[in-house]
Amino acid sequence: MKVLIIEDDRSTADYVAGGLQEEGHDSDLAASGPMGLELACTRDYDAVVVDRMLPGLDGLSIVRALRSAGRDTPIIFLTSVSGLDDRVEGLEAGADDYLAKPFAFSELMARLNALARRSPLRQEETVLKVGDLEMNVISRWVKRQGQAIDLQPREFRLLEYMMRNRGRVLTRTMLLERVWDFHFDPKTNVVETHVSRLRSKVDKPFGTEMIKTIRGSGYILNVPS
Amino acid sequence: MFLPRELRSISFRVALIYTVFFLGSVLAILGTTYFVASSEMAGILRSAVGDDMRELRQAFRTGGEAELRHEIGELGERASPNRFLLYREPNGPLTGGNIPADLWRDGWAKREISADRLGQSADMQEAAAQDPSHEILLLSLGERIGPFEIMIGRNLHDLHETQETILSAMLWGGLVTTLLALAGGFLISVGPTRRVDRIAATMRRIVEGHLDQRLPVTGRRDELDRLSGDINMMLARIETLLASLRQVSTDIAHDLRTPLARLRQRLDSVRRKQRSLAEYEAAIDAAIAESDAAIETFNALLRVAQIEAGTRRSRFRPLDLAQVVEKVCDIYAEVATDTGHTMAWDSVEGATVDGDEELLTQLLANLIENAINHVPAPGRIAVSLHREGDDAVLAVADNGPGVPEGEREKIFRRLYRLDRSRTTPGSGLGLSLVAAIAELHAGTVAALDNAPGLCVRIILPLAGESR
Repeated sequence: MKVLIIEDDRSTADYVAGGLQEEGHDSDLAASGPMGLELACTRDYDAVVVDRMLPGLDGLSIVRALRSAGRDTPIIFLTSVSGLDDRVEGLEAGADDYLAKPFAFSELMARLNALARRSPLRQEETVLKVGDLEMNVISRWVKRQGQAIDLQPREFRLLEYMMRNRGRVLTRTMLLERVWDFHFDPKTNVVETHVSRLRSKVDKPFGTEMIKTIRGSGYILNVPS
Repeated sequence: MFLPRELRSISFRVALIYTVFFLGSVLAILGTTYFVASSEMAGILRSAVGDDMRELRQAFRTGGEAELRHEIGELGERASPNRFLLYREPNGPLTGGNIPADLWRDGWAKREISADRLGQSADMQEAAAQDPSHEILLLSLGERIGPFEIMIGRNLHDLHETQETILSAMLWGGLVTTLLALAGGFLISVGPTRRVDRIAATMRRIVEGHLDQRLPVTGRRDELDRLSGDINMMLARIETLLASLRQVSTDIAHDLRTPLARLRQRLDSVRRKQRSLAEYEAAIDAAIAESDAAIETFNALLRVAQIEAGTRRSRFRPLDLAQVVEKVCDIYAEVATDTGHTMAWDSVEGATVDGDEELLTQLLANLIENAINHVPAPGRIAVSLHREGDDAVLAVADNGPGVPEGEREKIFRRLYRLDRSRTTPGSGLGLSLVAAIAELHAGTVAALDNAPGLCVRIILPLAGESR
């Protein structure tokens, strides 16, 4: 994919651009607010990574300007301004996600993958299918190979999030935020415990693994190879 | 302009304003009295003179010259040091009365007559003698009636004296009023000024760095007391914030130096000689983990500081604590099962508090994780929530080793770790975060003996409408 990075700190910008290049993606760099806005308006990107504090024009204004101009490119804030109020403000301005510095590149990549190619106007699917795993979000049932699987409400939410983001790495932080609504880092294996419970219901009885652990990054749900 | 402090005080200024008003009132009252009394007395004297003259005219009209002479005789007898009369025939020899003839004046006249012009008139001299300036203020009416020129007069000395009395009363009254008001204002302002001085002196000590100082409160519950009370509350808040700031700085300096030093040592030892790819990878992983831990501590410290600063109150809304308890316990039950603990939360009743759901979730998660990490398996963790009067009481109890009595207060301090906990995971910030969150919600936190084990009790005020 092609990503626009609007970031005035050279080393952060290089770190992100280098990481994207290693993953096989292209990126453009804008070191100031006005330049970033111009690039975002005149070229097509799959995603925009924007800092909040920028020379010339701050990140919030850039996001608001893009949204009011009708551009629906996925936008992720990457910033050290990361209090609760700041996150809310950023998302309300029209950003799709928010990542606080300091960050790990794998976390940013996972979030970008989750955002990219997501059609903002797409109807939320009510029936999800990944390989032989099926979920009906309305009737709240899950089947694999035609067999019903009984899930707890939170396990259901976890599986739904994974199925909607099939083939994408989901980091521990992303899961904590989206599934558990935890905006802090627990000191116990909350995520690991629940993922392993889910595995014991979704994978174990069927002998093939759909939920995989990506060491140091997170989890991914895919059609078993 | 230099003025003593008391004279520059608000009380004194107010007293001065009152003085001006009061003085104005006194002068207005006395001034009105002066004018009314003067014109009234002058009117009485004029009408007395007029009456006398009318009687003479009447006598002349009814009885001619004989009657007039008789009436003049009557008036002459009534002449006194206050009642004057002059009659003369312009073309005849007759002159009489107690006014020297050369003072004749036709019509109404008001004149000051000095003593040397009084001639032989004993009445007039006597009248003049009563006046400090030996003058007579003569009010006279002169008319021709028949063959006579008649002038009737009165001494205005009494009127004058009354006027002077009132004037001097005004002067002295004003002067005394002013002095009394000024002295009163001064005396009234001495007390408040002294109190303000004491407040200012305390403030100066606070500015010099004695943040534990508080403004004096007399207990009279007046404006100064109320203001001092409010300022004292503000000072307490500032003291807490500064202490928190100092603590954060110290904590950061102390707690982040250690992992950074460790990180440096590791990288240094890897750098010193050629190693295999696997060793390098392991070293890099270890370095990343070390920096992650440092970043996490840093974030936790900032979070505690942010919560202590109270900026999150803007996100408060009424929420049922029972739902938070259900959610968090539900999440941790399986974690506890995996670690060989049992978790129970069967004693939970609804309790609506004003709060920040994200923070209260973290508070309970921290308490449960604390129990999971410090209670050896197979331990029991019990979470309960119930209402007690106007409060919601949330308790997390375990049957682990507990905390020695002398240390129970300290476990809520930042980075405080019991000796035996040094090996368990955690930064030592979990419980200080709990304390900060409880305090933000106007609640209290206490560590109690669960015999055996530890029970952490959080008391939060119920939201207004659910009391």
